[in-house]
Amino acid sequence: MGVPYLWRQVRRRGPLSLAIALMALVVGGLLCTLAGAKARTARQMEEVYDQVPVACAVTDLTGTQTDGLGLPEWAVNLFLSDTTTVGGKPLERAFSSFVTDVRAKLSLKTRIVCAEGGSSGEMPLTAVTGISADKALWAENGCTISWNEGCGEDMFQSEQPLCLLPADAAEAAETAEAGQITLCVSGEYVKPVERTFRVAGTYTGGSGDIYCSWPVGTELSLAVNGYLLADSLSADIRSNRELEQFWDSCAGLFFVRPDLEGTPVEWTASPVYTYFPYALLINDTVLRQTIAGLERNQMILNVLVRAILLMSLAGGALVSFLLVRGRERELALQCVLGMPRRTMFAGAFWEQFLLALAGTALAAGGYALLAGAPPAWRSLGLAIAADIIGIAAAMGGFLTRELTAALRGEH
Amino acid sequence: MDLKLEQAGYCYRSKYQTVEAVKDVTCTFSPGTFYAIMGKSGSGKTTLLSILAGLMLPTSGQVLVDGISIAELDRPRLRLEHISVIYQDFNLFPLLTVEENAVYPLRLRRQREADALERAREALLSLDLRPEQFRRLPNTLSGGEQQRVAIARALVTGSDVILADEPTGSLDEENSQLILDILRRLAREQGRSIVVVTHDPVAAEYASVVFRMRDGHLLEDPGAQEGRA
Repeated sequence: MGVPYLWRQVRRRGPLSLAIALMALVVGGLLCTLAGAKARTARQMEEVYDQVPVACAVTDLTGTQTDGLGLPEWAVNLFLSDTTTVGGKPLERAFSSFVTDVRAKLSLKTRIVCAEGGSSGEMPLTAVTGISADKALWAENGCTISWNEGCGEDMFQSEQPLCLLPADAAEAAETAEAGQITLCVSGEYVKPVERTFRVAGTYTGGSGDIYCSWPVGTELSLAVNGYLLADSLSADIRSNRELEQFWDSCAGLFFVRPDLEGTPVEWTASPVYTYFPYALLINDTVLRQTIAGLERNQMILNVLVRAILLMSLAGGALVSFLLVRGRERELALQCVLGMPRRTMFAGAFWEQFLLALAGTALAAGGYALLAGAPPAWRSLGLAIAADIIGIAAAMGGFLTRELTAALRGEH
Repeated sequence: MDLKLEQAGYCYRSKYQTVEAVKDVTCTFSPGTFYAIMGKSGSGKTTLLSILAGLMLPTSGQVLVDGISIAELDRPRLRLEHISVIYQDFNLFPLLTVEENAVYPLRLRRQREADALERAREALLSLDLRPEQFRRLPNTLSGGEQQRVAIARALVTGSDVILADEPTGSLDEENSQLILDILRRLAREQGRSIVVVTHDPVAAEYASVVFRMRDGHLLEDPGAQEGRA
């Protein structure tokens, strides 16, 4: 009988139609709202993964000491080299590919060689990969750096002999005019080495060390000691999503996880404990806690969505079933008047499907209008599927019953 | 069109019991005759009518339409073109107007809308329904008027056979007589077979042939015919 008849049914059964429409609107809106909240939580998780910084630092086994560690060259190379080998075989992914902004520091003993031939007292020459590698250079710790013309922070990556002097030492050495200084760097076993540095800048309020670039520092360390020992080594994690992979496939082969409460970790926990008793502290507490909170929210939303979806599916199927059951007499009459059952089935199915579609469209439109966001098409699709199941179940029941019984309204 | 039952029977089977509602019925319904089938409730009258309408197939014996078994025929088409059924509670579509109810079978036959409407209106007028009633919904009419709409719906297709199940069961005496008069006229003047199932003796008085259903058996009631003769 088509859409006009369907429309008359809707108008004639006003309260019922209104109740069904409101139910569709409420349930659909609720589903869409929850699905929207789920999507927002997922987006927040992605943002957290992208934006929360996670750093890692080599520590002693207690996880409490990050400086003055005396880290050997292999440890430094892990962070800086393009390849990582274990037992002579390169790993699929280098350690350095998981980290970025590597911060390394090493210290040597030096004296400032005066123009008249004498020298100052012994003081540390510290090589760093950048200002971030030594807290003593940070502005928030009271250090003010004054760079000479043409110089800046990039001096720490330079292979040129550039240095950053404490202001008082610069004055004492009278380097202001010459713009350069000669340092006598000494080591444990090899004889000291003299090297002239150009002064890139001076600072006040810091540690009082003389700073040079990491490449120059490592070269001097090898020259005066014959080996390289770094005081500290840290970096940022390149991708927080790869944290587990980083540990499982790479970092765990070289380091143990420190005990964050300061209890020494047994050395047997380290795969290479005999030689390299270092731990790698990954500061991911904020990330883990934030993600755990969001995952908990998402789990609750998932449970809610599933519960409401299940209820709405069952409700939709039941309503569709009852609507068809309510029309059985009329459908039977169509058959009595000569409509083939197949035609009747198709017509009634189409009408009921249109009703279900209208209910779903109402829910989707209502949500889009109120929330200003696209509806949850998957959930709404499932709701339509449930309606179809309800219609099919009712129609199936009708087709197996005698027409005369259906005409009398017997079930 | 001849409608013939040959040793027709019908059993209702359920998980718990089997009820033989119609047993070994043999009879012929000829054109131009008004038949009444009388009997108590549960005697099998309505089942017999449903078998005649092709709504159910007999579980034994057969129904022949002009000599062809009804099981071999396209039964929806048969009801659309040759056999119409009228019920006690009218069975009109409650959301269609009087006119739309009457024209419904012609729409099923995909007849041209204007012709179909004209024919439906003629049928309604011939049954003393007024044009101002045509656009009203059935529930705004009296019982007698609703039954006349149902008869109009049966007439528009030009059915050879009209089967009526307690057509006066819901009507008062005046309206009952009116409906029975119409049915008798259809048999006499238009040569249609009218088969009325009823337990009302007054209704049976309008019939030219009266059968009685008893425990599923159909028995001719010669006394009733003699009385009318």
